[in-house]
Amino acid sequence: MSDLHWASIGELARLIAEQKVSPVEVVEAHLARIDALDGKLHAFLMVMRESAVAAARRAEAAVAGGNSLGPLHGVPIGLKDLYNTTDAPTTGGSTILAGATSAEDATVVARLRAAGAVMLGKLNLHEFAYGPEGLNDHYGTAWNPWDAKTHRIAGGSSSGSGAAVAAGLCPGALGSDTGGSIRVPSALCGITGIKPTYGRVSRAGVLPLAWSLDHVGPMARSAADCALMLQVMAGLDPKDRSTSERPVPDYPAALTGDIRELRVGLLKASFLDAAGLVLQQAVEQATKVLTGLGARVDEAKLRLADQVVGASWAVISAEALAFHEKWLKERPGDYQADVRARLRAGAFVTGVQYVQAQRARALIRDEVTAVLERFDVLVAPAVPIVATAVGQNEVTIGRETTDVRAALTRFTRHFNLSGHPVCSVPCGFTAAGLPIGLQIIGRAFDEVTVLRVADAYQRATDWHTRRPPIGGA
Amino acid sequence: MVFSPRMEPLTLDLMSRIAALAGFSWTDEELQAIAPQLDRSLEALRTLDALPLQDTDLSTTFRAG
Repeated sequence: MSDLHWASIGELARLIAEQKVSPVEVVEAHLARIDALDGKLHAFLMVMRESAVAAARRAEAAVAGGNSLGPLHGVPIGLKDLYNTTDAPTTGGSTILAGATSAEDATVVARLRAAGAVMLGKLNLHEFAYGPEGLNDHYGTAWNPWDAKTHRIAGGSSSGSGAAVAAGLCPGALGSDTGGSIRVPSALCGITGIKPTYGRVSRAGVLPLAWSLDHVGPMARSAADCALMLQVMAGLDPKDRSTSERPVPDYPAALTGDIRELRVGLLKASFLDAAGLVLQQAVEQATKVLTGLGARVDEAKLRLADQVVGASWAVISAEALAFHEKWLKERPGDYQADVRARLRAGAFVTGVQYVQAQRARALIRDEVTAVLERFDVLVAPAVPIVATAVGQNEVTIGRETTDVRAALTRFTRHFNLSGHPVCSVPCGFTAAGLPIGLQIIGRAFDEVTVLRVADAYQRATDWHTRRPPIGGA
Repeated sequence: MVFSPRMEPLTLDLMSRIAALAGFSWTDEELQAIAPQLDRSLEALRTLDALPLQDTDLSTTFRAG
């Protein structure tokens, strides 16, 4: 098969199981793709070439021997460089942790390997995941594949995951999301990513940014592929006490394409109305597609949106500084400037402010839960803007000129505070060819419905099948 | 510099003393670099004053549902 690098995770698993392609062929096709494109994209911080080929050979032998295969047998996956692995260092995109080794794989990495996946390499990110642009002064900032001429941000913090999946360097990747770090790069890079419910997927062995807000999840080119990855990743983990005992449903089986009579709430105030005009039009068009599929779309409102920025800032700043305090005292010069500044700001959050932010968070969560009693899912733009140029600090939305960083997480951090599951899917492009993302928000632990809506939308549209100018042929 | 009725104005001197309490020693230049964003963030934090937090429990172990 030609163009193996554009095959979906589901297709690759099927082709390998039917012995139509070998895992070695698949891994080598992606390694060749990385060799050809990553000099420009900077999506990978480290390519695990030898261990990936060795794992592919073992997978090939298993197929030939008729051994029982896992659902991701022979499928190459990229890892945001926050996930501990025994066979490669985990740097967090920093020099502070350059060369840091791990005795154990992160739980989700171990689960992916047990399902047969091959770890292709470690992906770029905003240093220590502390920024939504995906900037990395140490190793170079990932390049958004949707603009071959201008170096635009891929979005962060999972910038390498977004760029690599969009450009066909790997069919799926792991991201993490504390304020939007799966959904922002998914939206800016035109791919699909899901932030599961807080407690659905283990964070054991993943470098933290802010423990009470961190979520880990898959990024791929379709909701169907995200479902395949999430199926393997989700579930109770004794190593992460925040994980839930709830049984894991069959996500791929839930993708029936049927969303008739589903109640969809369109978040207008503070979300749709606060996005750029072209993005508003794309999201409104997406709701028409959902209506055409039989869903009932009505306006929904989250009245506590104004409190999200303050609560989120206090929680992230205090928790991030708690993790980084020692290094910030001993090695401040080893942080990139923007991350160092954000960490320093955490010293000015008082204990009372942190507690009040966590109390506000309970109200924010309860409001989302209450609104989702009237709707099966909510929809909103993922991001109010499209990918900006690296180094651009301000952006104009309507009549408002605002900070790019603040704009990027304006619609996403609400659901880190609430913990609800959210999937971002591509829902259009600007005239300049830059992708636009749609968020689909569901009830706690109802990833099934979120993914079903995302998949139904993708069955009816082709935005997720478009290829970027860098490596698009 | 902004302040609320519960806080002193956030001057460089006050910032320096707060940082020192936390064990950090930062120069005025370093503090000035973070002051504008810190002002905006603290202002955003004051939006929480509008919420009925006195009736709200703290979930120390956060549960989404």
